[in-house]
Amino acid sequence: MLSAQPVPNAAAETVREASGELAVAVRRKRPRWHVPPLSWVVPLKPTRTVRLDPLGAQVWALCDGERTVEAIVDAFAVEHGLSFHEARVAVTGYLSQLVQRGALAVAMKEG
Amino acid sequence: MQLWVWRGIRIELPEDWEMLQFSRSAQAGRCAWADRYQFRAELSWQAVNGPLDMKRLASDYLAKLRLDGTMPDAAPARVGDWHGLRRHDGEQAVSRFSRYLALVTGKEDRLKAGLRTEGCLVELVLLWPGELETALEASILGSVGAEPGGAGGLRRWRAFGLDALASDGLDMVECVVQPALARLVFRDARGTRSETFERLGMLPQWLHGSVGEWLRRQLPHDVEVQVAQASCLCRQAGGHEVEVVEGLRRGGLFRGPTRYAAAAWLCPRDGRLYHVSISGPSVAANARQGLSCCEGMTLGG
Repeated sequence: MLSAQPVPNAAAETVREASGELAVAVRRKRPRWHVPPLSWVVPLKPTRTVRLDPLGAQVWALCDGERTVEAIVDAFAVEHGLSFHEARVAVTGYLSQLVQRGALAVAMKEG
Repeated sequence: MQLWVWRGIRIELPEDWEMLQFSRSAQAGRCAWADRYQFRAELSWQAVNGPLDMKRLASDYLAKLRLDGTMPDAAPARVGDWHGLRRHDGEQAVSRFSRYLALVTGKEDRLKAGLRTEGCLVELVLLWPGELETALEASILGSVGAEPGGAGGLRRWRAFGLDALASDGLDMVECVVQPALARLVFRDARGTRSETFERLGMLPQWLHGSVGEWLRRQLPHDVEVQVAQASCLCRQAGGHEVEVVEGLRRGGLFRGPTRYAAAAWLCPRDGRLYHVSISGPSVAANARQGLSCCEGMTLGG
């Protein structure tokens, strides 16, 4: 798990909101049932937005597709003066939320 | 090496091994430490009514393993007072040792466990990815012992960056460990005395204002402040600026008023906020003495 590389969704767009939060908009796949005439009466947003607090935004910025989870945890720990395990809990929490919402994918190395 | 003191048992482990699992029970329990990749050590304890024949226990256990055929490669080992075995489990080596430890437990704990003596059977399991490090194994085994009780029946706990002295007779009722937060809460059975020790991090994210203001916000609603000593520079405490609040908690229908004392400070070494609060019928004048953050801050002094 620590050697996995979080890769941002190439289709994700980020917008810094006035509140200071970072909004990550991910284009969503249109469901198979969402066709006329149902789509005329049930509107569906084309994107799903994930709002990240300043800490989440830091984790998002560290996910450059090159860094491993371990490197991200290390960087987060140094930034906030945390131990490795404290930072691991916080970072993996953010990463799992981002993966669940489709903003991130996790690339695992073979072997 | 880093010292951990839990339930009266002390152990020194490498700096990067952190406690990820723990038990609060005095009678039986376990703690487990991991490095960044895997679990490395597990310490378990079981209260017993007197010293045991460890040599016989170890040989019986080994004979049973051989009979079962579950661990055919297990080799008996002895390090100091420890009896145990070493074996290989896949790509890792495993050391498993046990010994009797005469503990300096509190009287209340002993009574609760129905024990006549103050001892426990301790087992330590160490996992070694790759080769077994004999020198480190000996160093860890040699570091395990009973933590001597402090003056006035105080018991030391050292874990998660906290080095605290809790009063004898109090039970650990809460242990919260989260990113940037470690909290140990001790309380007696009747709920008349309670002691809380906290270590908080990531201060720029949430501490807006002074430590003194934060400390006042932590006061229980029923505390009437008697002494609010702001910015008391304790030179003997390594230059730590300690904020102190003392007060009286209003009594209820069936209980009289109790005393309350709290202290908080920022440790310049690790940048964390330390907080101790004590409430009970009799509270030491300086609550700060119950908690230490670094060598500059003497515990109990």
